[in-house]
Amino acid sequence: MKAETGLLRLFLVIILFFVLYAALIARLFYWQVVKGEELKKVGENQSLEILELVPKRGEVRTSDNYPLATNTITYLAYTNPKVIKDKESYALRIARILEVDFASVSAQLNKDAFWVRIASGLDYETRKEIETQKLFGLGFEEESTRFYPEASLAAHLVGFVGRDNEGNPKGYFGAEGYYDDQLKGRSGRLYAIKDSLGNPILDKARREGKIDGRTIVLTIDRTVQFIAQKRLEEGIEKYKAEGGSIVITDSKTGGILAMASEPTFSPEKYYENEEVRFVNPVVSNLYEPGSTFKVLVMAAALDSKVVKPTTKCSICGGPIQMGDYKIRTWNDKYYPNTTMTETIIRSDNTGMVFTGNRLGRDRMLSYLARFGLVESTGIDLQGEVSSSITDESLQYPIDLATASFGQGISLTPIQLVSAVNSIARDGEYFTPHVVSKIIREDGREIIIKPKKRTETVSESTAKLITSMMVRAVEEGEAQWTRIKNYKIAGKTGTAQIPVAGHYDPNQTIASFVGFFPADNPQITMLVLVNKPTTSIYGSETAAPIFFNIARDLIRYYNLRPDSLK
Amino acid sequence: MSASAKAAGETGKNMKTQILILFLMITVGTVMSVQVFLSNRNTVDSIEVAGLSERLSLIEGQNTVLEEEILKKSALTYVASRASELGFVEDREITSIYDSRQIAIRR
Repeated sequence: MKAETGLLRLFLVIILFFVLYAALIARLFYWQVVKGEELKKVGENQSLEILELVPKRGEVRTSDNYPLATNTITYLAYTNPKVIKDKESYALRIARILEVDFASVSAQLNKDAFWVRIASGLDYETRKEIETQKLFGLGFEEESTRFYPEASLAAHLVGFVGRDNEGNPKGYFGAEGYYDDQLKGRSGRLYAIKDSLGNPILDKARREGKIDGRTIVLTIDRTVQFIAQKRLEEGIEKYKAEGGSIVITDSKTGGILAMASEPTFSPEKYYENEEVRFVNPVVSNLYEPGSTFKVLVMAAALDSKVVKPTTKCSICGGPIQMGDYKIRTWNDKYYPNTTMTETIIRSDNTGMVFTGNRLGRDRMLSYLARFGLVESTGIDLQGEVSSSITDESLQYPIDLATASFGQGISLTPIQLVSAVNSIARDGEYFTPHVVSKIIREDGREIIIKPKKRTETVSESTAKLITSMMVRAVEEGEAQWTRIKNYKIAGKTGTAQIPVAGHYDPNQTIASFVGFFPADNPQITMLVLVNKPTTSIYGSETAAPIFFNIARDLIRYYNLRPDSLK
Repeated sequence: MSASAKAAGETGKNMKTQILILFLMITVGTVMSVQVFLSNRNTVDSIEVAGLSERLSLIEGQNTVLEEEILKKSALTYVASRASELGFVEDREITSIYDSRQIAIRR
């Protein structure tokens, strides 16, 4: 009997333990499996800190590794209005240091929020000054801000960094826009477990995915850029022009050494300008090239062997009547039997009409395509457009005639200078480019090699047209400003501007394009002056600017005069 | 087996059990102490690292400010403006020597 009772007791105890353990396991299952994810989130919220790792944007450097665009640290000042007792005095002190409107600071402090922004973009010195005030509740956050040490130098070429629709930094225009994907990098995350005091626990931290942006090194020579910008500003001031552009390329590679345009803007304060100011006229504005275009048409005619330098023009004795139009020379002087060389020297429109007729529409269009004038050059800058020339162009004889001397067709400055550079390169067309290498986040370099695109004319044709251009400089209307002892190949241009269906004779785009030294070109340059008012002619405005810069570059590159060769 | 032998056997077993329990207690105690020590050191190191991170951030900030100053002062636009303030003028002449010239002559 006693034994049976003992067994029963044992059995009941075992059942009890079993039930208790089952309940425990069920409860554990509930908290760890059913509620597991929820509790994990609660735990992470308490102790896990997820920080976004903002990548450092890559720099834009000149060929001497000086950064035209880099990053600096600025500070955002914030505060908690709920902990401030005397808001008025607080706002007054901050407004005085920051030199901002008291009302705007006061409005921020009176918001019903735990965090308000007081000011951003503060430099280190301003931060230190504010900190000396020991204002309760005021804190600072670091921000990375784009910084342009050379201010507006090469602004159109560099572009600027603004914000996209989501408030993230984004490059616009120029190299900042074109290479935005390379420059911006990729943000990452830092997962850090904190202890109860908020300190990170070392071995629990985990980084994920941050890649800093790549740095791009331009072909731009900072000194050449400075010279171009300075001479352009001086020229616009002197000739009372609306603006202008200069492009300087390395004749051998097509690399852009300088690209300047006025009016310009400050990339750091881009928001103070209208959007039209950001457009780079060198790649985005079409213009009628005028007489500078003659060298290309003449080169095409020589290469096609429809004319020779000594071919005489049979229609140059006076103005040429074409239907309702009369084609005149720029100075209304006419030279019967003028040769092709003299046509270039005198910039004779009637001689060019003769040449264009000999060339014919089909050959003209074919050569314009070879000179890269019917499509974009492919330069690595945002915003490039192409010319208005297509297979359907030049349908009428008058179109062919006017195109022969560079009116009635439009192209961009970069298209013209690249085409002329092919003459300097003995007929080889190199794609213009502004970036020479990209430096990866791991330090390795990606070299961008010069790209030869096509042959435009033969080497012998290139030499012929070069000699014509040299004579144009030495004997033409710009000879007064040339540089003695240096052979420079060049051509002036004075293009009337089309206004409401007709040409305004008082408004021109004055230009000069050329390369030097003529025997072994190092530099190809185009100068454009937009609506000069002291004189409308390229020989009196753009040409002097060209030769001023040429003098500077001869000294800078230590180019030998011709008599020493 | 006699009762005394049995009792002696049981005492021996008890001794072994006690020694085993004592050994396990010492082991557990040692392991727990080491864990507490290492966790504490980890936390202390983390506090130090947090402090160092803050200091590093401050120095990086100062470094960036100095870099900015250097870049501004070496900008061509700044150098050119200072040069004209200091009295430097542009020299537009190109000087070329066409013939050989004796630069140093022994007399």
